[in-house]
Amino acid sequence: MLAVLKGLGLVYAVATAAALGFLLPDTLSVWAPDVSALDVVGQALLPALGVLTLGRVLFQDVPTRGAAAFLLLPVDRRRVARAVTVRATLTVFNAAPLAFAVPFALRTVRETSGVSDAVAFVVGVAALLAVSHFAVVVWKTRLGAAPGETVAVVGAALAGTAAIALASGGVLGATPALTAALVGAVALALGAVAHRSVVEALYLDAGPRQARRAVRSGTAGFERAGVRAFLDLDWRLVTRTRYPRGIVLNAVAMTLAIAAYAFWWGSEAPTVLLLVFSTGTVAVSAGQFALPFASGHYDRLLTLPGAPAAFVQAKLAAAVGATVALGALQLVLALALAPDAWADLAGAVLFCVGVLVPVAVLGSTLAPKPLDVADTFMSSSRIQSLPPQIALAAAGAVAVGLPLALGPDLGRAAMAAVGAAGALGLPLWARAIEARVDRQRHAVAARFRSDL
Amino acid sequence: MSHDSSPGASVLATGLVKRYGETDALSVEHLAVAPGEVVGLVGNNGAGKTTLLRLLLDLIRPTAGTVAIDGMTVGRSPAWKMRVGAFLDAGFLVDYLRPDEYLRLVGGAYGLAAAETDRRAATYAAFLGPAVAAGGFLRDLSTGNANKVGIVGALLPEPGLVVLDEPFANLDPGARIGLEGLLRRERARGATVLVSSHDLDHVVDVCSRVLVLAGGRIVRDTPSTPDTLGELRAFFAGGGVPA
Repeated sequence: MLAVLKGLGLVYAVATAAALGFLLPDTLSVWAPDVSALDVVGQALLPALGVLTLGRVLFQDVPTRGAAAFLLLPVDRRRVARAVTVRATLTVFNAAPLAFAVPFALRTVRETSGVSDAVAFVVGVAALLAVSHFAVVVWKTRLGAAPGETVAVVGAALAGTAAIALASGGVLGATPALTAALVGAVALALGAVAHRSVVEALYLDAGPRQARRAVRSGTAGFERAGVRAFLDLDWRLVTRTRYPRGIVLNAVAMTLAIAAYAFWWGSEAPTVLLLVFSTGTVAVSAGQFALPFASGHYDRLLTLPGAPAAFVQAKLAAAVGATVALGALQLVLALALAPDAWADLAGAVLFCVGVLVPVAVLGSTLAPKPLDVADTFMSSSRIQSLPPQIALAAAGAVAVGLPLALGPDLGRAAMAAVGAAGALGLPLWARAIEARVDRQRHAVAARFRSDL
Repeated sequence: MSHDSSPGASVLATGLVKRYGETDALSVEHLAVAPGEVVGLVGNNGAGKTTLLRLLLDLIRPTAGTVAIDGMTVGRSPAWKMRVGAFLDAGFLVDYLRPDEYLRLVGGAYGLAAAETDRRAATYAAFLGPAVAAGGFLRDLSTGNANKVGIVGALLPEPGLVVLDEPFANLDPGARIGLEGLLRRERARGATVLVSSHDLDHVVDVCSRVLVLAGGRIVRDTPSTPDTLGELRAFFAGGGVPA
């Protein structure tokens, strides 16, 4: 069902992009006759690419997902890497922009600047997409293993591409062929890095390079029963396991990037809304994955008396703690870039703590198979299926609706009020989530017994 | 059959070291497995059995040393992979396939036609059992049944070298007996087999040679004789570390 919906969504996105690419001049001639389609696209291209890259980081699969099966078959590792890299390109994040660019080039660019510029435009857009795509491949396959190197490589590639585009006027500037060639060169270089990253990631020991730290003795948890013990275990899970660490790093990076964007450049969207989605990245990913990650590891522990209540409270505490900690980091950014935005930030963090975190944790119990983990975070369809998506979408709709309906100031106050109410009701949320977890564990056990 | 006749060895590991941080997970100065040998790896948890198999299969990279399979250095070119059939755990299965689809995928990778793969798979029907034959997705099978499919996937191409990591684990008693039969069949076929296990009886029963690992080193290398089981039991009763 979800696969069909996703397929329909893909077709819709591609068809809409293609139609928009073809009809943009006509649309603008009706709505904004003084505005040139070429200017609009030229100015929107880089920001759109930034948003697209963020979208990829949030929603695009880790390319090596499911590739382990092929490592035991007589297939060259590099071939496996090439296959999964190519497979990873088949995404709406590449298809939709290309679907826009080709008809736009065929009609608008060709009519205005000739065939060669139209071809250069398409090649340039493809190269920009390739840079964005390969940057995310490198980011997702190497961030957990080599954080410093990964941030440096991806940052340099994106900064280099932006510099080329800005210096040359972009793929619709005076020298589109040169721009396309330069961005293409960056894309090829980054593609080679991405390929190497995937090959590296296909080794089972592709972990952090630094030496493992010695285990502190005497803090193993259950001498301090209850919530603290589960928090302790969670901390160890996140710090010692590559995948959760990758999710946390990803979420932190996204949060700070969006927050910096909100503070620095501002936007037509209310700042509080941007900040909700910035802080919400952590709130939602920590919330969504708190139960699935932990329950697989701690299933046996949950049979201890009082453990389910402590477990759920620990999950909520961890997600709330992570959100507040990120809020504090954002506050540093706010004080540096836009001191007046602290109230927006406070409203956003409150809303995330009181609404997004509990909805995300509760939502993760609504999936049919909650004890599973996927490689994407935020609305991961593989684990979350439709009901959790709907729960999160409803919370997101409230976040969007309040500032839009009430205006920035009233909306911010309303969000803070709703968030504060939700935060005060966290004990009730915890009880509801505990009941869901308990019911689901019994359902899973019953299914297991019936399979025997 | 000689243990240390390196020329013509099916598997040859030289100066093989795998280090995690400050810890030596494995350190094997010299290991040669002759063609046709069925070698069992035994050892306590963490002794290095799985690390050794993963190094032999190029799933992890050695800190030092080399591995050669049929004279081809592992990691340099993929040609050696055609000679090897391996199964480590259910994580190496394609969980969204059905058993027959997975086996056809494996057969195809080794250049077998679908009909030939099906014909060979049919010879494993008794081992696979009815639950696998029912045709559900691999992700929905129990661990034992999923492992059976993986084991058949390793044997079905009739490779020169078979590598199995704890294949007896999670299998029901009938399947364990069935697997013993399959390994004997491999031995009769002349295949080289490397199998790790905690089940001393099965290892001694099936293997022609037993390697004991402790602390990442091969501490005992002995042919499997009627006395071997007793010696191994005495060794592990004493903690599984050399005196």
